[in-house]
Amino acid sequence: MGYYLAIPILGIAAALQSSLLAQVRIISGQPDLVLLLVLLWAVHASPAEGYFWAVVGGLAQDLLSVLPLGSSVIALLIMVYLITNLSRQLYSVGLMLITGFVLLGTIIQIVITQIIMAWIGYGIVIGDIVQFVLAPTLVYQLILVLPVYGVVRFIQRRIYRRRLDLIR
Amino acid sequence: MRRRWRSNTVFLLLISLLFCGGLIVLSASGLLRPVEGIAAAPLNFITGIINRVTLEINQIDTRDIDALRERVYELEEQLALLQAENILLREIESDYDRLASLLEYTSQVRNQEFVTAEVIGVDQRSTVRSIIINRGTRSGLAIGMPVATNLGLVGRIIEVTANAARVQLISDQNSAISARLQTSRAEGSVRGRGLVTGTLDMEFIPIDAEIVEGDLVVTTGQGGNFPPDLTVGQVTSFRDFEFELYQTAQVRSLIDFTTLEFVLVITNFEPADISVFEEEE
Repeated sequence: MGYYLAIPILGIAAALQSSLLAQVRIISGQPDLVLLLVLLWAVHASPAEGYFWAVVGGLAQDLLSVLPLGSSVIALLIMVYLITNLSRQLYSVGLMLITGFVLLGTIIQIVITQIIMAWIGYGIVIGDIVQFVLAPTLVYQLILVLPVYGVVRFIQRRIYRRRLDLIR
Repeated sequence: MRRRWRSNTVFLLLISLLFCGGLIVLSASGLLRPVEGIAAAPLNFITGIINRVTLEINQIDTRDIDALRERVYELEEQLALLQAENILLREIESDYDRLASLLEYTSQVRNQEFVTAEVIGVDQRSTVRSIIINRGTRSGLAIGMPVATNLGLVGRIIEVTANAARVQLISDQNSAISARLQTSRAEGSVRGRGLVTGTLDMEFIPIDAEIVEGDLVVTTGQGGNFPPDLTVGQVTSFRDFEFELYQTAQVRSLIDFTTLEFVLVITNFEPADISVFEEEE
């Protein structure tokens, strides 16, 4: 069920990110809704499902941006790998850890995408990126991590409960 | 088992990263542009809808909303005032129409003088049919003066104060008017029956007189109580029995006494006192 939900949820998130959320920028930073959804979904999902979400989310994001296809997928794949590994080793994954992963994922995402943008010809100024893009985006991610996590868990409880019922 | 699993995921991750790298190169070179266009179409559609909605919301200035709201309140207030004014104007128009018809009547009848009065009360007792008007002795009214409208005779003043007067209606059962049929000129006495409908009886019509339904009944002026040729009503039916000495006709006043609002008091008619002649006899 999680595989089927990836395309509509992440498609709408990517559309919102490039339209509505683009208008609530602080300087040049805006919420990265796709990243939030992918990472928070991967916390309680299977690795395969997590990777699927990363690929779909990254591609949806790249289709609506100037970045080459696959640029956003890299950081998401790396973060999903880290999350799935850690969540299997710990009894439970607390909110602080999840928030830390989200912030780390945001930093990695911005670094990788800026490198790719520099590679395809866009000039970058590291100081400006940190001050005007990274910092505001991190603030947005901190604000949104809890509400988005709540929504993701709500959906996952519904679909995983159904899966358990079917198994029984 | 665990190591095998971990090596599988690492392998999967590496493969995925390599695939992404290849994708980036192909996309940056422009080879994937047609595929990107097709894949982005549904996302662009959704984005377009969201943009349109956002744009419309942004174009709504909250100050405009407040101004519009205020304007709505103002207009609603104005509407309420206009509606009240409209009701008042309709009443005035209705009064005007009635007064205009009375004025037309008074202008046609040149040898009579009138005072217009408004009906301010109706006697609710079952045995007496009367109305109260808002003119009295201060306006030159006196007991006995006839009261009429453009449709006919209403009655006569039986009581008067400084500012008001009571008018006995012709439908009152104590009312008796000397009248004649307009067509045949046959005379009789019109009596009230005390009914709200204003139905009257015309009695003592000579047995050989021709009575026609719909014929107008007018005052004769005999008895000195009313001036002549005032319309009393219209014949609705009659009875003619062989064993009776006189005919009787039912007469209906043209006036609806239940909706009477304005009347004319004939002020230059002085009722003649013939009681002196009756006493002598």
